[in-house]
Amino acid sequence: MRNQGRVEEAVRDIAGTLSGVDVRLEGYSEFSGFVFFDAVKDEGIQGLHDRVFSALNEQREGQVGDVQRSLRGLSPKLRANIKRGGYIFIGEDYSPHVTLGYLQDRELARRAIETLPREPIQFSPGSIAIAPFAPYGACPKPLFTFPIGR
Amino acid sequence: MKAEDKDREKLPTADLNVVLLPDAATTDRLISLSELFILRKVSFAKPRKS
Repeated sequence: MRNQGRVEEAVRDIAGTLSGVDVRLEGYSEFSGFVFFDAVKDEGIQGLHDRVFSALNEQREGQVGDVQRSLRGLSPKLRANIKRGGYIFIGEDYSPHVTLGYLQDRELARRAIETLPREPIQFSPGSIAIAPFAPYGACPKPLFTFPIGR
Repeated sequence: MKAEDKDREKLPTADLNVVLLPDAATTDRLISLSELFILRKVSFAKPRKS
């Protein structure tokens, strides 16, 4: 990866100075066939996103990843986000989530969501990782992991 | 250099994500949900023949 040292250093610094981040997942949504378990966007999560974005956006050197390039039917604002930040959900459009899956037929995806349990899940993450996107938007194989608050 | 390290070098930086990692128990719950979603979408996509 280009700028690997800078990327690792930035994420390690952020993880080391972070404390008291809680994540509450509640409700599902569908975006372009991707199915998300949505996290509550509170000040802590938004602030973390803003720090990561500020520290890393330059390091991609204008590149845009395959998943972002493959998205169709985006609004002009989301297209502008990709150009500016390499990702659709940046800044005020940030949408914290866990990607559960992908289905080309969006109507089927919505029907499948209706069958999922409604109970929220809450957790306190112990670490931050750098992970490549898998083909359907999930990040199952972290490359580098940094403990939070140490 | 190990093969694994060479693979990492080739990764485009823009294809990487920064993620918060849950504890093991929460990870298992989320994987179960993902599997449930996959099962449900398969059952919708291939309805039983009557």
